[in-house]
Amino acid sequence: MLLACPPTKKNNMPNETSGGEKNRVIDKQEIDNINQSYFELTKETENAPIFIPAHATRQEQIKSSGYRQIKYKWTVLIHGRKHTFEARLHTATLYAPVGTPSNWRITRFVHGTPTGEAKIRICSSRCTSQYVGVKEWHEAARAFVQQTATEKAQKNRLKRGHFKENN
Amino acid sequence: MDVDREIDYLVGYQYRTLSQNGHVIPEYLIPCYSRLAAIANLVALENPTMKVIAALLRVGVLDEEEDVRREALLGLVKLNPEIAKAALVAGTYDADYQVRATAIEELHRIDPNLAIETAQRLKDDEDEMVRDYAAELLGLPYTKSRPPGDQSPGSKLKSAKAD
Repeated sequence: MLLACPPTKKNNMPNETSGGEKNRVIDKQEIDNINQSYFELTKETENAPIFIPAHATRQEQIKSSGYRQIKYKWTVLIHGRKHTFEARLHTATLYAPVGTPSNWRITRFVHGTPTGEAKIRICSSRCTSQYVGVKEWHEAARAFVQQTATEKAQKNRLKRGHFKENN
Repeated sequence: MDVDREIDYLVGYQYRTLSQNGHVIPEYLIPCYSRLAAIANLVALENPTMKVIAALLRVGVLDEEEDVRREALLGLVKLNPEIAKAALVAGTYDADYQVRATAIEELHRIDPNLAIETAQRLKDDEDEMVRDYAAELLGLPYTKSRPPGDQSPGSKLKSAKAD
């Protein structure tokens, strides 16, 4: 069976193929592969702490320290301003103890303009579903790795900003 | 603060060890947060030496974590805007969109003419945030969202112009 394939998007998300060809012809085997890919991706994003739309771009990297980073990115208009959301899924390293969960981290960018408001980059906090400013986030991380975090709030911020999968 | 040790943490010659993590952050992210902490410490120096700037230049381009590259560029801007210009232009070629976005924004702040020159290339960037910023720098119309399936680099800009 041969079917016309619609133009592709960047992310290999549902009903898409990779490669960027437009209106090319694909066979049944390829459709099965796409369906399989759809299933796997749906499974991958179903536990995300934020809804990841189908048009999100997907990028996968393997870091030298051994973990895999899968990054989803999409842009939406909220109250007339563009917001880019980024959901990063970090898998545990190869040598992590069995059962170590993967982690999600969500980042939101409010677009800035040269003549308008400054760009704001904000990280998420799970307990309140609110976003914490990047400066606060980095300050908490800095204090924590230097073991000078005295505030319980700083530790909580970090803990809640890394969403364990299957929670 | 031991500057040499912080530089070692930053470039990866030494690693910080945490005696008590308590599942606050995933273990594998500790090196990344450690480098971010080193950047913050070095940027807070009153009289940064050339080796501090060199270390930031190095990680601003070479570090594998985009957050670290981005923070290194921001740190360079604070410490030495003149040297930072070269790093920022390099940052506009970065593989990660948030580094490119930061680079063009900071460049615009410290050298608007150079930013406009760089924006000529970035106006067709694959990322909407970078592309919008560059387009506005050039006085071009604000871009619109791409229709599903359209992945040509300048498609948004073209559709905006057509309107």
